[in-house]
Amino acid sequence: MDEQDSPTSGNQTVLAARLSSADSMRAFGWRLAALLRPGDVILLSGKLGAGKTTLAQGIAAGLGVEEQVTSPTFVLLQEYEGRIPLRHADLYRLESTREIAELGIEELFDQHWVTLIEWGLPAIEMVAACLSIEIDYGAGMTGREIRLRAFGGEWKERRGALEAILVQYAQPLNTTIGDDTANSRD
Amino acid sequence: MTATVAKSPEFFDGLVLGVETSCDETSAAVVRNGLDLLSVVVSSQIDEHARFGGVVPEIASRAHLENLQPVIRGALGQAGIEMRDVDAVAVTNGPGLAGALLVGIAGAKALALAIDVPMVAVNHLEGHLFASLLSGQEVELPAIALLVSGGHTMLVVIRDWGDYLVVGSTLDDAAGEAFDKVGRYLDLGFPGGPAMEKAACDGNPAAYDLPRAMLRDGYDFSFSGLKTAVVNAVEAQNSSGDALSVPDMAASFQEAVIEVLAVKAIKAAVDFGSTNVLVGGGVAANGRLRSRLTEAGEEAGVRILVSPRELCTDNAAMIASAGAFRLAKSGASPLSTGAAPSLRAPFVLAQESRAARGSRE
Repeated sequence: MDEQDSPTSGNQTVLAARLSSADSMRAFGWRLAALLRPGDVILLSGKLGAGKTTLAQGIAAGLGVEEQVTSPTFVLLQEYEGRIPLRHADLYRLESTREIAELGIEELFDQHWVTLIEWGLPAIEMVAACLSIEIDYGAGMTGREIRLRAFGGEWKERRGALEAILVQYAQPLNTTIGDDTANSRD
Repeated sequence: MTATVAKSPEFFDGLVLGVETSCDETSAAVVRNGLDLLSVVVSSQIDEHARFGGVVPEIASRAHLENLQPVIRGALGQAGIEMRDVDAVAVTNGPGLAGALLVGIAGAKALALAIDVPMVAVNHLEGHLFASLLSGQEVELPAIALLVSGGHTMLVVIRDWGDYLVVGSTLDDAAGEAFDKVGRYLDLGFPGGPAMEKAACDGNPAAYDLPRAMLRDGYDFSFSGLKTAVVNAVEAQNSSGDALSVPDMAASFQEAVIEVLAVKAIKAAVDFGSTNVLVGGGVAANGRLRSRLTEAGEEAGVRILVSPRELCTDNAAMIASAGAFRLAKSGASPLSTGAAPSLRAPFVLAQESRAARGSRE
């Protein structure tokens, strides 16, 4: 990963789209899972009730996880068997990167697992490459808007595939490269 | 349908030291003959630093490590015994956070080896089932257990001690988690459970129309949509220009959660021929849940057994009691026993298939 792509540089791939329902959120996650490889890290963020666990359930189903995937807030980390094994973590109860480090979250990032981290943005500085998915309540509180930011070469090469999924499973909003501050909402 | 019968489990005779480190609390306890509680110490009781925000220092393995010796010394001291008097050591080996579990397991093994007594691994959820017995209550089987905490929401049929069937569990958030998150969202602090109950006392539970997810639909639970409904209702209220009534919202939310818990617990009791419903986990401390369950239980001829708060929340007393049962039933665990963090842990909790559930409903 070069300097330009670091999570803090602002130079990153941004894709935005609108999803109409919880079911469409699950379907999007299910399809996204087909792109995933062992070692991938996805950070899920968004307000209370936005649909982070719903998206995680869709991704898990797409990875072939048969068990019921529930919120990991209290247990902090739940592991599941699947086509690629899944680690589902949650940083809601943690407030500082020091606490995250103390928990050994960075030990999660090994090459065998797909790792999903809810309330995961604070961990962004601890990963070399990741896909960040931010979920917002849509205008008028109907539907959801998601914003995908890809960090690191491994994700950049999957940009085309990500876009294709958004076209098929969501309503893509204006997408940009190299600037995540552009207004991509309307 | 066969009548229910009062039945106590067979227990290992002797002093069992229980150790619990599966999640936030470090706890140790001494129980004699499985039922006689001599002492229980939980780290948050001796922690001089108040918790603030969402910070839970106990979650780190290091914190468990620092707490373990003091809570064990405390439990032995309160029981008036020495380490060498202990006849067996029981420890939680799952479900929970692997690093946290390992601290308790390593400590329990070291103690068992040092004083040459058996060590027995206990499933945390089975532990919760023994809390009612520890508080001196007689349980008639088959019984239903409603376990509601920050990490779990499930309905278990206790067919016999050691023979359990999980008939329902949450599909998304645990009930206690929903309380805590909505509490924080309403600026009541974290964990928000007790603060929500307090705020709800002054509120109108019918003020906001919130969903009762899956109320008549089997024994599973879903609280995620309720959380979203609260956010939507608050946003709508704010954009209408009228001030939000936090007590009304807290009361409406609490009523929605409790109605679902109570209806499903009583339905399970009736469907499985139980006359006893045991209630455990941190949410069991909620006064409105107790009164609502008791009302519904009286109507249905079902007795509600709620343990004292210190035995409802995570504690080592229930682990020592369940350990004394496990020792009598299946003997000591090998010292090679490791952590079993997942809910799939090899355990006696059979999960009834959804197909089987569908056929009965």
